[in-house]
Amino acid sequence: MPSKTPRIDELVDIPLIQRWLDNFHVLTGASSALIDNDGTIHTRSGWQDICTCFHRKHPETLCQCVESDNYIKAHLDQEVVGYHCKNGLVDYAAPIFILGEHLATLFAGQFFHEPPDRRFFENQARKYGFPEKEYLQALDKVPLVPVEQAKRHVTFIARTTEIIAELGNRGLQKIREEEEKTRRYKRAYETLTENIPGMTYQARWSSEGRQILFASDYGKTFFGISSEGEEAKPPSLESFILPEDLERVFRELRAALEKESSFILDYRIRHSSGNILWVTDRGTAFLRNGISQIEGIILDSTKQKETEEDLKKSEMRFHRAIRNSAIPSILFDSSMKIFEVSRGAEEATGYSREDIPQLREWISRIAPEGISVFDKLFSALKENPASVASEMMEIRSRDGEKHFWELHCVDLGAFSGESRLYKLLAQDVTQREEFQKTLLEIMGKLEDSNRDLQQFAYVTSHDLQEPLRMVSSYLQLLQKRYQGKLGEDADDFIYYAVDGANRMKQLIQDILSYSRINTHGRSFGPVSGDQILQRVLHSLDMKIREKNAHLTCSPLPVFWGDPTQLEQLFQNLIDNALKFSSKEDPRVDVFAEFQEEMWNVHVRDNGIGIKSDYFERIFLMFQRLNRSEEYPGTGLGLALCKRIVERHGGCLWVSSEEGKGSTFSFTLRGAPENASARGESP
Amino acid sequence: MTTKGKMIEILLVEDNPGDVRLTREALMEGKIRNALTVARDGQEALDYLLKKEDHPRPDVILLDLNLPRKNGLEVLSIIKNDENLKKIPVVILTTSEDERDILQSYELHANCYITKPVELHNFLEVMRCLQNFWLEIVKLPGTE
Repeated sequence: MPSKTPRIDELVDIPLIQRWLDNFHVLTGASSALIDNDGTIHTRSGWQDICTCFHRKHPETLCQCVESDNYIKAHLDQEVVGYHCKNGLVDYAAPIFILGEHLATLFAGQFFHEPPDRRFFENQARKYGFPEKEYLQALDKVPLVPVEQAKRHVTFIARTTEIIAELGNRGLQKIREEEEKTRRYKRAYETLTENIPGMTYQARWSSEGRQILFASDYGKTFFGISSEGEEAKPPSLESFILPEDLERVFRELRAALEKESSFILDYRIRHSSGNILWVTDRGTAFLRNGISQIEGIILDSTKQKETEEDLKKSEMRFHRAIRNSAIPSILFDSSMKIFEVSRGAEEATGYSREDIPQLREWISRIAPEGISVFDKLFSALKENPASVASEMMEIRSRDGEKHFWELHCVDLGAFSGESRLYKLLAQDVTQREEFQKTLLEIMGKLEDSNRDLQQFAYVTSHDLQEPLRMVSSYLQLLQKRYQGKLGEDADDFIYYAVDGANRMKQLIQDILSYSRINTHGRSFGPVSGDQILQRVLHSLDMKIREKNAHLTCSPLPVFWGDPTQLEQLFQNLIDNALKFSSKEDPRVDVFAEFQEEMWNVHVRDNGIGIKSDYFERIFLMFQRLNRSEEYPGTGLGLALCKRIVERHGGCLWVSSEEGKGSTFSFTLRGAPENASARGESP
Repeated sequence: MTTKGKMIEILLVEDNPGDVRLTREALMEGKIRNALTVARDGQEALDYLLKKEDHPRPDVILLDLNLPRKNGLEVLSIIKNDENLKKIPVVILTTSEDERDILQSYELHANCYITKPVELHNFLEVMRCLQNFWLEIVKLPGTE
């Protein structure tokens, strides 16, 4: 910043110059004046009454004085300018140059070179109405100074003034530098205080705390106190501190004062807005001139504190969430130190974190074998930290209760330093396990019961054969030896007895086959439908001829199943169709179509048909719709067919219209392609 | 060649009197003279076979499997392990169609396994076949 040109009165001691010029006037009789460029008269010595009391008083003569002043100013490039003023006197002027600049002008004059013309002045007196006597007396006081001498005087004064000014200037430069330095310090300090959300302060220690001697601008923001110390009694810093924190602050500050040491304090203040702020106060306490003082800086730490508090709260919430969980969960770190045990875990096991602070010990307490399970779980998690590792563990609570736990372990991330935080949580699957066990037991019992039932059906029907054989054999023996010998009645009786025995034999055999479908079934393989059909037709050949039936068969695929049972299925259905077919022009059609990955096989007749009411009943055991004389049978045939189809994973159904015929349909799986080598698939 | 008049000694091991009678009737209808001895359980059959002082050795044994005291398979096993008895043909005559019974019988060297048919005429047929079969058997060396 370019420094402003100093003023002459800044460079020299004006009263000193005045004294010096007064002495000079006594010595030489020379009048003088030091006049600034702006017209300020700094010194005046020996000024003549004729100028001060008369010429510069009257407006017209003053005009002439000013004119002469202006002339001199205009010609100041010369070292010394002389001028005969219009009021009749002589003036000299010399410019004062300091640091190459014209700062002021030294005037010397108000004298005559030669004795004055009295008449001129008498005219002046008359012209301007000066009292002539006093005017002329003043004229007489004006000294007579030869030209050369006058010039020398003026130059001398001017040069001397310059020297003095030069000295002054040097002093001034120093002051300027100091000022500049101070300004720079101040600016730095201001920048600092403006930009730090805090207040620097100086305080004196008193019984009321820190009496503020100085506080930076931020003090206003903080407390509404000013740096100027405008208030009559400067407030103590402590008066802003919340009562809850006050005692602690006093204690700490006293301790710092005692040791003359630094301190860092966190406390709350009531802000000038009424809000409560957290501040951090860093300062130093010391003794100066026997007075306890403290200097420091108070920074607004509310945000930081809030963040800390938020973090603390969040942490607390997290801990509480774990702690209050009914699900057994445990928080632990890489060193297996337990941080939290949920109530659920405590209740299930009877052990708290206080009981056992180490996870591995905790686990070995509830499950002696469990450590290896946990190690497996934990190493799986370490291999893949993003996963949730799971393992099953049987635990025993403190009072001996058994639980099945499904353990899950999750990596919650870095904790502190190298350590990580983990969460272990358990799902109590005791009920599920028990349920599963019960289910298995029931299933086992059901299987046993089913097996027993099948065995029962088999054994019963098998053992029934034995007495039946006796009945049947002896009846036949009776018939053989005594037919026609015991009278007609006896023949009838024997006939019905034999017939009954025969039907019973058929029934028993059907029940036997029915019960054998699942127990005596053969394993599945590819079965050529065409070959089966051929065999069935062969065995039914007689019946077909008897009935004079018309039979059509479309080519059949290779099925996947038990050949014996499939043959029985076709045999029963075609036999039924023949049995119930129309008396005139009986027709039976066998055909198959592929639908939704299964073969649909149909056996269609044009016989008596079935009422839709009976569609379901006909598949039940021993259900017959017709009198046995007309349509002989045990009523097991369709039940047998249904059981066979179901064993093959298909279903059997009927569609029919009474008097028009029935179609029995069933679904069967085709043999897999690579297994169809033996069959002649269509 | 053996004549028709030769008396065949048959041991029938059967606990059901009905079956005993039926067998007797069936044999009566046949053309071959026979002497039928009946044992009502396995132990009785073995006692008869092992104490043979006062009776001839049977030419053929008809053995039911389902017997009291010692069952048919046990009897069969003992017969086929006895040096003197093992040459006697044993025909298993039973109601069991259980494959395991059949298999086990043959493993124990039964000579024939016949399921008792329910129909009388079938039974008579079986007995007739058996007689023919026996006629073939007696052609074997070791029999006079």
